[in-house]
Amino acid sequence: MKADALRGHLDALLLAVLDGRQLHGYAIIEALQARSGGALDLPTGTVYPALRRLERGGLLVSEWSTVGGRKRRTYRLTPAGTRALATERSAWREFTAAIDGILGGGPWPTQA
Amino acid sequence: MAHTGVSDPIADYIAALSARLRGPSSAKADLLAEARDGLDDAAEAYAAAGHPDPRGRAVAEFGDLTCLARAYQAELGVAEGARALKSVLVAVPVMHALWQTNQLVWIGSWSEYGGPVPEWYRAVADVNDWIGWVVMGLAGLALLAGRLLSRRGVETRRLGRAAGFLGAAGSFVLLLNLVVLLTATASLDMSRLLMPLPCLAVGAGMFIVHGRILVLAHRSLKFTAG
Repeated sequence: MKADALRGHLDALLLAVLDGRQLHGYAIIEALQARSGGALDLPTGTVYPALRRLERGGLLVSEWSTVGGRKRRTYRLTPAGTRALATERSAWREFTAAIDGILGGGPWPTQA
Repeated sequence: MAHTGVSDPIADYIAALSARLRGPSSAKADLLAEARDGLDDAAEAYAAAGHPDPRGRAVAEFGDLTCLARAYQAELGVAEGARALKSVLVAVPVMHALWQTNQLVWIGSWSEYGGPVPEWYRAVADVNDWIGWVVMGLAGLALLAGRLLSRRGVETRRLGRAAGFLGAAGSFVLLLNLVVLLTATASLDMSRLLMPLPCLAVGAGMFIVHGRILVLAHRSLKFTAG
């Protein structure tokens, strides 16, 4: 899956992989790749400015902490981030249900 | 894992990225440290998977230097713009409190200083007072709007330029406000400008602080130009 297709969904994907846990940048990238079965083809460097933007928006907080013996900046959701994720999930379900109703139903029945 | 070659792709990439970025040194160091950590983590993962050039692969997957430098530069620009706006939030009440305290101690009522003043001068002094609070309120609203717009995915560079513009406009208005009050005071009675030293020091401090905010805001505009 190419980066262009992901651009509009990157924020929601980042919020989703941080749901209920605190991760550093590369662990977030690994989680994105693992959850997508390796289908996400995103330049890894683009994730860091996106994380900063979400932090600036008050959806994430970050702190430097020691992970695996090294100091790393780790991120977690704020209450506003948790609410935003719930909204994104709900909107995504509605969107996929609507699109699936059209694309997933096979050919239209032919008229008699 | 240490790279054994003559040049290290990760160190070279970070050096090239650093050379392209301009902005507050602590924010820049923080961004670069995180990027380097991410590259080192990726290289370790590729090395563990047996990749022949783990550090080169980590750099290749990190992304095009020009595109990433633009995104990182936008972050630095918005950081400088937010710094200017936060400085307005702090500077206005602090300078106001300092001025009021010194004025009460050394001068007494400003409008009665050196004798009764005409109505027009009283109006200028009143407007001078509330303009500071209006600028401070607008700076606070701008920071809040920036936070909400960041959530909505508004381009970081545009936010940085908006913050820089508002910071510059706010600090310019505050400086202009001081100049107008000084000019009005001088035209009323030049001797009124010869205030006690602590009051003169606070007045000079206001020029320095608002001038410094103007410089920060101008830098934010420079960092997000192009």
